[in-house]
Amino acid sequence: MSIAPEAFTFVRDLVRRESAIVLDPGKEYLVESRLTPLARHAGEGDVDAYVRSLQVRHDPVRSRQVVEALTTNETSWFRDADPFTALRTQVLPELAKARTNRQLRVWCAACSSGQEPYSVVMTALDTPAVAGWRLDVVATDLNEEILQRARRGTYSQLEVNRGLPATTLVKHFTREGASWRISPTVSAPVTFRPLNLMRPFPPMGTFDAVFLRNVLIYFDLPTKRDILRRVRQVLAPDGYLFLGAAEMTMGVDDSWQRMPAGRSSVYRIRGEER
Amino acid sequence: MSLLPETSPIDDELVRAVVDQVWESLLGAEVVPWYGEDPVAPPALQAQVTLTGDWNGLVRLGCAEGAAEGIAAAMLMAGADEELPPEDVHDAVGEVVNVVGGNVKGALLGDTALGLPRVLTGPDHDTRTVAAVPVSRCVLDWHGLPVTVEVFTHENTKECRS
Amino acid sequence: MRALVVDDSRAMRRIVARILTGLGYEVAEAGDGQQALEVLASGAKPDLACIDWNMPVMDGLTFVVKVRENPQWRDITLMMVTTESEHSQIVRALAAGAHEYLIKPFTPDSLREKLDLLGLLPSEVAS
Ligand SMILES: C[S@@+](CC[C@H](N)C(=O)[O-])C[C@H]1O[C@@H](n2cnc3c(N)ncnc32)[C@H](O)[C@@H]1O
Ligand SMILES: [Mg+2]
Repeated sequence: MSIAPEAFTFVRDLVRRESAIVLDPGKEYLVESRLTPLARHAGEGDVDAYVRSLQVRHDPVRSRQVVEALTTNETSWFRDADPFTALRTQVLPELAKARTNRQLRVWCAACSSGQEPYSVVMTALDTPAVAGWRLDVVATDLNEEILQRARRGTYSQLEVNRGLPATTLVKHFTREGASWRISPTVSAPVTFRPLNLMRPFPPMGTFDAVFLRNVLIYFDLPTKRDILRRVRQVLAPDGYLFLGAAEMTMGVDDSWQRMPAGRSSVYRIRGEER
Repeated sequence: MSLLPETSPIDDELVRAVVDQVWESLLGAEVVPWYGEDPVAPPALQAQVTLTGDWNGLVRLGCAEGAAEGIAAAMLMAGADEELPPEDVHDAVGEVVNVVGGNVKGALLGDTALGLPRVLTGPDHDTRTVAAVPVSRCVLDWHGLPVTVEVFTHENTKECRS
Repeated sequence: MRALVVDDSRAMRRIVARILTGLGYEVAEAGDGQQALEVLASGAKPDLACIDWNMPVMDGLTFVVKVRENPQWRDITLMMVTTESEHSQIVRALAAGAHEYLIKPFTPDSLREKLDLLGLLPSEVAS
């Protein structure tokens, strides 16, 4: 059995409206598999019946659950390795030269279960140029349930296997039952809070680096453009933007300049746009 | 379990978390709880590992007729028509219990060693001793066949006999 | 690139070997540490060894120590692939000379990511 066309359209519109995530035709299977547990939990016979109940009566809690269920939270430690090497060897040392207040602020704008912001902190702890500096990492995501997990700071065996060097694991994690807990040294600089990228950003101050990785891929072009424009407003003029390996600013928002950084790239605001 | 030392972190929740991870990544399968009658007959096959040291006990996987073959095929991604020889089946379920056992051990404090897996079949293979205290037990549904995952400890043998 | 997969479980050797072969490795296998030493002594020069801990005859930790004692085998990257998962065991293996540590159960992605960390992902498949 597969999801009815009307149900798919309703979910697609809801998700687009609330998160800007685009569900193209052909994603019916995704909607069905992600909503099946919700339908079962709600005691509805199938996904169609569950969606119909939402159509009949607006339910903000259920609507949010549907949107959250359709986010993809795939992540890993030091994802793609190269951006974090660039952070340690180029970006942080450059920033260290430019900042006299010995203070750095980083925003992880779609932090999922926390691997990315914690990887930023571990990388900074490994960078002599910023040793002893004050670091603040603001980590945000649309999905409040995933933020709960990120705050908890415990990861399964399968999660710590993904991208975390063994030396880093033993240095920054302790075993707790079937999981591993991240050390307070790594979690203390990170603040998690909900934030929807498609809405105006709340006051957050200025950041020296923004990680906006593997999230623009889910949006349409005008949304990408709008988000990149607003990110420019919260990034220090000499700050750095990190995108996912499959993402770029070219043709989206040309106020950014791509700079090679090791085997990957970072982006900076073009001189004339600062 | 009041007989257990309070320091033992092994309980159903922990074992289930371990089993979830093993099923997901090693067998590419979701854990389905068994809702049928509790399997009382001894399983057709048992794979077990011992834990010895600061904590002493046994982790055991019990498979109904046909379940071990299914688990081995899933692990090896064998085709439906590929019939695995019994040595391969025993080797595969032995490794499953080795992985479950190691992760259960990982949750313990202190110094405990994991033994090598042993696979037993036949009528008199149930090596459960009267003195062993069950710590955790879950019954899973492997495509319609019951599979049990059990943890026992020998820690409290004396109290148990009293 | 060549790899030696050391595990007493044939099924596990097959799983690891399949992932490595898919990445372009040529794979040799051994069922315990002693056999693995014999494979090395016979002149095999793997770039990578994936090593189980609990095995009969000679366990993986002893194997790591023996490999590290022999300067001829200095270039082999040693990665434990084991269900031993206490913090203290990982520390022990690293201290004995293992370069990486992958805890069983693992996914093919996580093995790939470990190889990437070690710089041992054949370049055609590196992301
Ligand atoms: C694939 S994860 C990327 C995680 C991490 N940045 C990385 O690269 O590994 C995408 C994340 O974007 C979040 N997301 C999707 N739409 C969003 C939106 N409109 N606002 C904020 N976060 C959003 C999802 O909840 C999910 O956690
Ligand atoms: Mg073994």
